[in-house]
Amino acid sequence: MKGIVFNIQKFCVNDGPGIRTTVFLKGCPLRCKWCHNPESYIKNPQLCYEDFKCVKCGKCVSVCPQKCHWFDENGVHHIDREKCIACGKCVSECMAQALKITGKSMTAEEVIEKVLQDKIFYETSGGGLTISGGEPFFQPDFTLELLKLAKREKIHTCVETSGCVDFKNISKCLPYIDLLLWDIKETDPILHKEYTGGDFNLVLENLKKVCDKKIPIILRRPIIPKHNDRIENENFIENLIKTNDNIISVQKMPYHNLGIHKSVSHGMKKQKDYSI
Amino acid sequence: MFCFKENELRKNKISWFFLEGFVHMIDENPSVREGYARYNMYTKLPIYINPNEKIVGNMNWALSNELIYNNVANQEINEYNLNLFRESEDFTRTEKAVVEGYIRKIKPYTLNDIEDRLSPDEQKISRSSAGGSNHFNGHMIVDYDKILKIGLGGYRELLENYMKESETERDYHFYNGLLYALKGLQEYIYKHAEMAQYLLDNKVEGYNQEDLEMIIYNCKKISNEAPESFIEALQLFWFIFMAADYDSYGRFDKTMYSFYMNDRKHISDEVLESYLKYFLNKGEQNRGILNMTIGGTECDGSSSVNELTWLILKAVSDLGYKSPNLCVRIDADSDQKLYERVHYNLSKGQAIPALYNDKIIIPMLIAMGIEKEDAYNYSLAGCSQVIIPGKSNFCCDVGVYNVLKILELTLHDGYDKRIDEQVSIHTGKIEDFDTFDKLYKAYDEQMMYVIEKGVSINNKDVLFRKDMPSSIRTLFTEGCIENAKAIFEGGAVYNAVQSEVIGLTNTANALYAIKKMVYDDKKITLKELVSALDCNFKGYEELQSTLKNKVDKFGNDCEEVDSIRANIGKRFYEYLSEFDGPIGGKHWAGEVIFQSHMNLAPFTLASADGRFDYEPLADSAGAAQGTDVNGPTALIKSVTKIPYTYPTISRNLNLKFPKDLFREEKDKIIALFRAYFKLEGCQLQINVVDKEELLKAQQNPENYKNLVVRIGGYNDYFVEIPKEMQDEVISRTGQNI
Repeated sequence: MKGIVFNIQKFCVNDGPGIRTTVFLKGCPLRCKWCHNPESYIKNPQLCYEDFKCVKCGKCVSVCPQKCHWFDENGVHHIDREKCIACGKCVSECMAQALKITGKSMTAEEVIEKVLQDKIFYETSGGGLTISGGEPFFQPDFTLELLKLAKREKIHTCVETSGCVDFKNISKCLPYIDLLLWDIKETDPILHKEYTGGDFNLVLENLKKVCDKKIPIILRRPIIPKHNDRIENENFIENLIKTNDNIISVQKMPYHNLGIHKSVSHGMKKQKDYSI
Repeated sequence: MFCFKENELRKNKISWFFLEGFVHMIDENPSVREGYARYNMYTKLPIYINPNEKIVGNMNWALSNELIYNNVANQEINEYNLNLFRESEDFTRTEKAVVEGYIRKIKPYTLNDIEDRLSPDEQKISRSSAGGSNHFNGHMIVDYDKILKIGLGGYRELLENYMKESETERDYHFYNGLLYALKGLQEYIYKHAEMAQYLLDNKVEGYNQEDLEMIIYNCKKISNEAPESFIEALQLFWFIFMAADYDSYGRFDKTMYSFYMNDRKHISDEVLESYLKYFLNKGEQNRGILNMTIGGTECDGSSSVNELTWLILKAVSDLGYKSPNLCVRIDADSDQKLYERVHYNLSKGQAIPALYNDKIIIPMLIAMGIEKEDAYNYSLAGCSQVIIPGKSNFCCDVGVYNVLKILELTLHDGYDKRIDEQVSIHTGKIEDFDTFDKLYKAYDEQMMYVIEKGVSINNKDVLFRKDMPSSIRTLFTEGCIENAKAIFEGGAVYNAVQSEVIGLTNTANALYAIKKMVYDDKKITLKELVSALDCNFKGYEELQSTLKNKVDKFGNDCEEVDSIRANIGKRFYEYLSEFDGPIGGKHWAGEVIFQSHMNLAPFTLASADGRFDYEPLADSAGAAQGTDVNGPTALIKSVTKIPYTYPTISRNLNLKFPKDLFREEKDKIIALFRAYFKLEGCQLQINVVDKEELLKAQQNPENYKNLVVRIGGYNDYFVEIPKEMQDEVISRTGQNI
């Protein structure tokens, strides 16, 4: 089975216990305005172009079968994102490393092979595999396959989710998950909808269902200045912890603005800087 | 005889008195010649005692063997020092003329003309930089345990007995020469008591009466007797350490343990700690590499960690000096408490201690023919060379091989384009290499030829030293007195010739790039590739970028390139160790690269790993600069694929961590260390800094005077290393996420 992976990052020390390898899956139901990984919005591979690296050699123009690349009279490099099929022909020609494809179709076995390379570090540190994204349950069958393979190798598993998905997709993976990292982005349903595009009631409903299954959960709360850093959110989360034994802790995730650069390089509308 | 200004000591920079003594005895037996030279130097050197000192001896480097052989013997350093001396205002014209006369006379007895002694073929290989000698005297640890046990008087008795019983005139002279050196050293120590007495009697301002009384007592006593207290032992240790090269303190926690424990019965811990700090301060003032080994495992499997181990770790961290170059012997299963203390020290940004894996090094030493008991007693010296304290002469760092140059010669049929000369054998034109295997075979033949020439160059280099008895090392190394053989005659219990092997990582990356681009993917012909290398990628910028950025590199846990690295390394070590050393033992390799990866750069033209002409080579056993892009776990996996069952004298890995991550993730960092050792990693050294901090330090050196970084087994103040080396430290990828 194949899934779309946009990064496999080793020596992750912030995505669960111990030294971990985090597998980032592409595709997400939410559109958080401050998203750190906007390149994970859509599931399919995408062309990433970093203007500052481009040396304007024009090689990409000549190899592109879709004629997406063009330079205007001022020498500015344009990419017609509508036409791009992310074939990667321009990437192999680009010596300046300005172009790359974000998202790669990989089999679960290929991914696990990479994850297993660091098994000894999981053993000495109590670490393992973390599946993140995007939204892992947006590729539920692939996530399930990865988890099964990891458990077969006796590797600790952790999934980071927004919880904003159909519960049956979460449910079928639960037997293979040792720890859930559950995002609470905003607790006011109206603001939640505004900031993320998702339904907070679904997040909450799913969280309650998961709590019944006795899976350890760490809540993750991104702190976006002047947006969701209100005391009401803090109180709501504290109450969640009090009423659910299997919620171990809450982890505050400070905002960083690396998403801005990524939104531009993937041809999206430039993200707002929430640090200002 | 006494001197009151520190700069008067500098007059002795070029060992004036040593030269005088040497010339005086120039026609005598080599042992007598050198022994007398030392006697003359020790007895005539001015004595200087700093106010507030409890441990005395400030010879700077005037007494050092290094000086005598490297400064008189090494042409390059010699020329440099001679020019300094000639321009110096410390000497009168007459004095200068006298010294110049000495130098002329001593020249035939030094390594000055070593290149002329080589055969034409050897000279060519040496010129190309593929294989040659550092003309370095090697690192040593003298038998501190025995010195502290029997005292200098005990050695004197031993020598006199051997002298009496010597059967040949040569042996008699051999012992007599050593006796000269020993007597000189004893007198030198005693003179410190006299100097202190003088200061006391004349109530010289700034000196503390109690301190002076202690110095008088200690120096009088240890000039002949064995020390009893901790401070006496430290004082004697210091004198011997200076005389024996400022190289390594050996297993200091083990050697000093009984003195420390005895004193604890009647002296407070604070006072003993202050003595230790005075001692460490002496080292810092006098500079040098100053290796100190602590911790480890005993032969019976018990831990060697003792009360003094903890105290040393604490004192080193409190003081925050760049010295000593602290080495902790450890393994994957060592006590968590020890790992935590090491983590604490490192997290302060001091870059020491470095960690050495007992479970790898000890079995390797045993496999190399060293007795179990001695293997368990190994210690580090120099940058991080493995030594058997008091028993070995491994001629560390004597040889140096540039493996990337070997590949360069392979691609040019033995021709060195840099110097326009056929320096090596013909192993085929590139047109002949229609398969990768044929190219590899040619590389292998070149490698064998270079090793053969390198071995004979280094054998000559080592053998030449047989007339340089290195009295102090000879005197205090087990086997030398007993066998009536100087250290470079093979007197020590264990001998070997150890060479640094540089460029294995670049070579593996380059071979893999050639395999992939030329033979597997057929994107370019070998001829085109070599043309690109020959013009330093001018007009081939795209190819250079592809080679550098798009081809897998060693250090990322990529099987194919890692296995090339492992195989060429293993092959090199194995072939080198087939050769016997000239004074016993074998030729051994090491990847403990202090600055050779920089020094060899000007000799090495562009390579197929996308490296330009004259760019630095990869340091130690790590990845090439900036090419390990998958974080520390992948780098560790790659490095530990290099097999460790072959004779190598330490193989170093530098890891650099940003300070915040290193501090906040203590448990995970320790788990990373344990995994490295479990994977049979040999040595680990850590820099805790961030790239931005280094860049800031480069811009505002005045604010970063205490920033210490590690450079291949050795650490130094970042702001004091040259700009190119600073850039190199910066470019070594910070394992930052």
